[in-house]
Amino acid sequence: MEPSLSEFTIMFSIATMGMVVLALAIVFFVLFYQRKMLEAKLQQQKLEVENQEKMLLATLESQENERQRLSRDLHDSIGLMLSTIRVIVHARQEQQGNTATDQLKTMIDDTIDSVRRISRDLMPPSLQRFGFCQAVRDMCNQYASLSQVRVELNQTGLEVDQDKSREIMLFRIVQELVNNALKHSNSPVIRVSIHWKEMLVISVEDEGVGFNVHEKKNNGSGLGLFNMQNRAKILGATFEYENQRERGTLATVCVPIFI
Amino acid sequence: MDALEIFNFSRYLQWSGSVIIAVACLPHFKTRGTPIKILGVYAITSIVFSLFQEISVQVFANVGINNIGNAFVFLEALLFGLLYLNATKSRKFRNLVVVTISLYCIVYLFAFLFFEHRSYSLIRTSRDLLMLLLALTYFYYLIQKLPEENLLRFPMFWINVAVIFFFSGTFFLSFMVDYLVSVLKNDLAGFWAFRNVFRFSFCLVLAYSGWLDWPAKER
Repeated sequence: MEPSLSEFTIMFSIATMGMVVLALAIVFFVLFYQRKMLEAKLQQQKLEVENQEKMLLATLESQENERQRLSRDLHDSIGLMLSTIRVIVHARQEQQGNTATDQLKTMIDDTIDSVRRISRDLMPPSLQRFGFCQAVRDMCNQYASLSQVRVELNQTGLEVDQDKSREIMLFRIVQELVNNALKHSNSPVIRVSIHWKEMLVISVEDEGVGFNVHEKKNNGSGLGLFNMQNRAKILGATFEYENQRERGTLATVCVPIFI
Repeated sequence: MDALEIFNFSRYLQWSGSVIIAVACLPHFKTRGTPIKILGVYAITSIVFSLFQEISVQVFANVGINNIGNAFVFLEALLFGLLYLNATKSRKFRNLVVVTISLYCIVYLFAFLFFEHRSYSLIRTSRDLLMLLLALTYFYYLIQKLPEENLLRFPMFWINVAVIFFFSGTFFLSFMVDYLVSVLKNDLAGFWAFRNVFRFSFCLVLAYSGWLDWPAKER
């Protein structure tokens, strides 16, 4: 017996609704699944980035530990032996009093100075004892005395003591910036500024020839730049180069202060 | 309004749906993605065939109206097949599209050669099955490939949603249309009106996908 129109309409409606609901379920499943997979992928990427940052921090820390050890060994071991040799040579000179011994003493003095300088550059003692600002001040004075370049330091605001590992990283950034300016800028003056406000703002400015940051990054010769940016990243700092100036370069690092 | 008036109104509504797709997909044609270009061609084809049907109704007293409809069904399947062929670079998916379209062409031919009395249902049901198969396979491909972007702003996602909703919603109508024509006669008008309204919403979703593909500067 053929179904009536109303019976047929009901059957048709139920069947059609069933198909539409099935289609809806499929669409929602696809959306839900895709969202879940993307979240999982993002989470994995986040973990990878965190892992990389941890590895980077571990590498930098081990680098600093190694420098500290080398500095200590140079000073305590080789420095001490050289000082002992100098004492013996001095005693011999007083006994024999010849010019060859004078030359020997001078060479030993020069070697002791070199060893002390290398030891100091590897790990400045003032950084360990007196903190970041004093270490930068000593570095500026040392560079000014050793080269023909005027290295000026301007510090404003009240210094806030930071974690030692952070201070070392900050110091390395400033050290690298000043070294780069000395080596490449041909500038008669280098100005280092340290401003303690809500954030620590460090700038290193020169009046030299300037350089192209992107060119350095692209041709792979910017290893120092890469290290500075990594250190800045670990400190949570922003790092900017301003070289679209009339003369020279200005590098600015803004570091959050953690007490 | 009686069933016939509702049916006539729904006919013009579905026609306007095709116009909306054309408006959304045809401007800035050269800069659009290939699936959207094909959608634009589909809209033009739909408008043209609707025009032919209207001429047949008004001028030639419905002569050939079924043939026009059947020809459009075939072209629709081909155009959507072409759309899915250009939707991905996946070789497996493209092979599936080619195989299923080829099978559909064979079924279409056989329907008219050997099953003339049921050809109307057969070609529409097989078209619906083809579309549903392609839509489901494309969703599976989306799950596997997981495009980075938000799926809701991905034009092919919305084309696929439109296809899966429309062809699943009208599947039973396509399956039973020969029976409905012979048994219900003019009472079929109500069902066909429902199908036309459903098609209008299908066109709106397709037009939305075209709008998503609109050049960002011009949107």
